[in-house]
Amino acid sequence: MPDEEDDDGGLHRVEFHFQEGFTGQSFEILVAGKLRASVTARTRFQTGLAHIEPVMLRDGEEVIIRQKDTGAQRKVHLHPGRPFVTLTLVNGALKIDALDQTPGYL
Amino acid sequence: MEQNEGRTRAPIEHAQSPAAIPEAEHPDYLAGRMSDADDASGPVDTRGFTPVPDGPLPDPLPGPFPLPVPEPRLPLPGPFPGPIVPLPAFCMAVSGRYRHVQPTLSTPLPTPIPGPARPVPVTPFNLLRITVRVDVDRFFPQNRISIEVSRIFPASSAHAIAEVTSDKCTAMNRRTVTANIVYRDGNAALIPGTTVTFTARRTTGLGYGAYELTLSGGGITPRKYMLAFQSRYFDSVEFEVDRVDNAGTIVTAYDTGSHPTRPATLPAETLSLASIFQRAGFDVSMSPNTTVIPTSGAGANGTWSDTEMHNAMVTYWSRFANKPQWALWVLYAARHDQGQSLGGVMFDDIGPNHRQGTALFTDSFIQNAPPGDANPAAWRNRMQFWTAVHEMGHAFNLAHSWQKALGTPQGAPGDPWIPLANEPEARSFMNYPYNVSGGQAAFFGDFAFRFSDDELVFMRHAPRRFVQMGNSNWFENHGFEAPDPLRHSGNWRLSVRPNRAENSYRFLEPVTMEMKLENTSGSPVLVEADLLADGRHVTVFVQREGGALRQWRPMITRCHEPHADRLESGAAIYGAQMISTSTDGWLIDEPGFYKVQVAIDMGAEIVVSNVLRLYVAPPVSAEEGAVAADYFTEDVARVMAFAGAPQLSSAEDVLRRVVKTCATNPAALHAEVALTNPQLRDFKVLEDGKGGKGLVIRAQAAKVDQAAKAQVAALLKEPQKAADTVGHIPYFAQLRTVAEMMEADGNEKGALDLMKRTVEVMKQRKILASVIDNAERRIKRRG
Ligand SMILES: [Zn+2]
Repeated sequence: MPDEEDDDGGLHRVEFHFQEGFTGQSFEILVAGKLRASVTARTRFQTGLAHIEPVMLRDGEEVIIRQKDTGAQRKVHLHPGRPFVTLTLVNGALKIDALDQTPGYL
Repeated sequence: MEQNEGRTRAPIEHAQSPAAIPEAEHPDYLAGRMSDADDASGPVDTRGFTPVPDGPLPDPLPGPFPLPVPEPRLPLPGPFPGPIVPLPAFCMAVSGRYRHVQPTLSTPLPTPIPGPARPVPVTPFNLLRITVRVDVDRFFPQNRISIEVSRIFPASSAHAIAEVTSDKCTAMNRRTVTANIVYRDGNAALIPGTTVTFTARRTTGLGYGAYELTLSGGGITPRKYMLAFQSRYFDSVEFEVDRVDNAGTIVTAYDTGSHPTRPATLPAETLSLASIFQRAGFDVSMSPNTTVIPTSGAGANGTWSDTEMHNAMVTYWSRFANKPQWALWVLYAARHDQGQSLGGVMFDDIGPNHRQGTALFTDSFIQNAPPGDANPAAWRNRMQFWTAVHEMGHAFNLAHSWQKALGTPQGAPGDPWIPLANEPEARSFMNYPYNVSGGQAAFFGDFAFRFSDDELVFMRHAPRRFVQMGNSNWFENHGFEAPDPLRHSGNWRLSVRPNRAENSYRFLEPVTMEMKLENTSGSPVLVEADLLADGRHVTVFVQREGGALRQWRPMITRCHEPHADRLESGAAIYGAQMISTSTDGWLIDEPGFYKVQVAIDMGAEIVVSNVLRLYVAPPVSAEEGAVAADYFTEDVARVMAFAGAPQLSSAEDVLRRVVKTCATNPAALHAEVALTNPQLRDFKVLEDGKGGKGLVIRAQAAKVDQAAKAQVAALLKEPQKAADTVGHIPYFAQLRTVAEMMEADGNEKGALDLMKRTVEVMKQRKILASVIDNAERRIKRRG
């Protein structure tokens, strides 16, 4: 389960949910300064979801989301017990939230 | 359980199955409209009162009204006879779908005497298919009238939506609804004007008997269209519910009273998938072909990808077809590849026809009732039912409530069909319950199990291709598309062709088209054998390229007792028509390219032919050019069409000139036949009587011998050329007429000889063996 701790001391699974507003933008997820994942996001209107990217993180690691075409980057504030990070693109700006339960899509 | 062609069939278990509240007792149902004599505004609650157009009559009959009757106005009736207080008028519900129908026309009378026939009225062809959707009462009225028009030829279509500005009930079942057009799509000229008026009125019975649509405003002469009531619903749709064998017990109905979090006003009833969409305006049928699908369809991992679901739809859905249709497949499966976070999806944005399939996942977050919920089982049932309707809503091309204004970018596919505002707080099937302020409890505490008004307007009134499954791509509501093709049953094939190798004609040459109607239904049918020949059933459209479209009406129609003949499957009937001249003059009178298409109203459908392109050459001589001005006249057209009209002597002079000066032109042959044809029999003409006697009938004596010689010369001197220009059917018919006239005139040998020569030409022309057989039999009988 996403919020379960791994045996390997402090390793957590965090899900990045790219939701509304994406029309093919590419993003990089940088963990502790290193590229961990590349995501191209295009929102599927019928679910309001573009992509879910799971990432394993250690306590205290810094996570940065960088938009490749603009170079804009945002630090993600991670909360213990809120391993579901939602990202939406509103008027060109990323809006980032963290939830304790998996977002549902219909 | 039975096995059938690899499909496992088993009844789908339903959690509940009692019925919804009867509509007449439902608080959301508006059964009609009431007014008193001097105030006809405002809908009146008439629950429990009245049925539908063409439905059962109210029992007891209207009056005394079980309704709040408006207070009579002063002066109050006193001890003296006072003003009579009028009883309130009641008008039954009119919402539903209507179709334009043609008023019945009288049939043309037979011409009393052989001789110059007059143009007789022909059945006007119903070129326009008009569907009207009236939405002013029944469930969740949206006060709209929408109109859908498709023209058969040249194919074009239009759609308009009008907002109701007034709805009056002026007497019992006499109702007038007026609306202003606010939205248009397609060819605006097909729906002229700015104002739409719909009237429904009582005729002989108690219910409505006559419906009419009027288009007016914007400076147009008002146009009226007679309507016939078709359905209380706006469209019909079929749902098929299939489930995967590990999906568990599925919920396709919900008891609205079962969970305590609900509006106080929400009637307790059991709603089904069908009843939700019926109230949205659709005539829902549930497919009996419910299938239990083996889990193996999901592939090795046991969860479903969109592609696997699409494949399952193609395999298991009894109605699957790669084409637009009002039909939808609903799959209940356990889990999607995405995992528990996907509760359901309209997965079908794959392939050429989107929005035909939706799925719901029973092993997903929609099973997770909130901790401490008062009735977790009812919550789960409600959420599963709600999700199924939500996904089905996507198949009707509905976006989520918070996506209504979304465009990608403005003007591109993906824009809303009309400018819409987001409705993030909407209590609609298309919103996420847990995303509104206050969360799911706030949502369901105020949810009436319906779509929003904007959604209902879209589903009921938007151009149908936007809504119909398998039509416009998912989320694409805009952008011009070709008009919907006519629906063809495939029972008939109609073709139009010249009876010669090339579609080119000489200047002045009358153009004759052969028509063939083939029974392609696969079984014998009854059909009027003279359908193509009598000139009364066929409509021909002629358009010179670059010119206006004109409709051919025959100058001559043949009347006969209607009789139906058996036509075997694969067999055909034939007819020929000279289409150069119509009742309003010449249709083909200039050099250039023309397009010709034939249509025939078979009652159940309009069958249209191929489009034939033909070429008319420019004049090849100064004489051809010079005679044109006198030749292309109405009088000459009549002489040609009637094969002679001696009273039109100046027209006959023109034809004599053609025979003399344009001898190599096939028009000369037609002219010769037309000029001499009247002399084959005694011919009556109306003439001015001398000495103030008015019109008198004068008979011209037949000159059969002389006329027959001229006809035979014209028709048989160069038979190939003559048959080419006259057309097989009229050519051989004329030869037969000449022979019969010779025989009647006592020239039996001449007649027999002509018959034999005719058969020779028939054989050279390789015409139908049955026709040759008949001709040879006629010869044998004579000896
Ligand atoms: Zn949805």
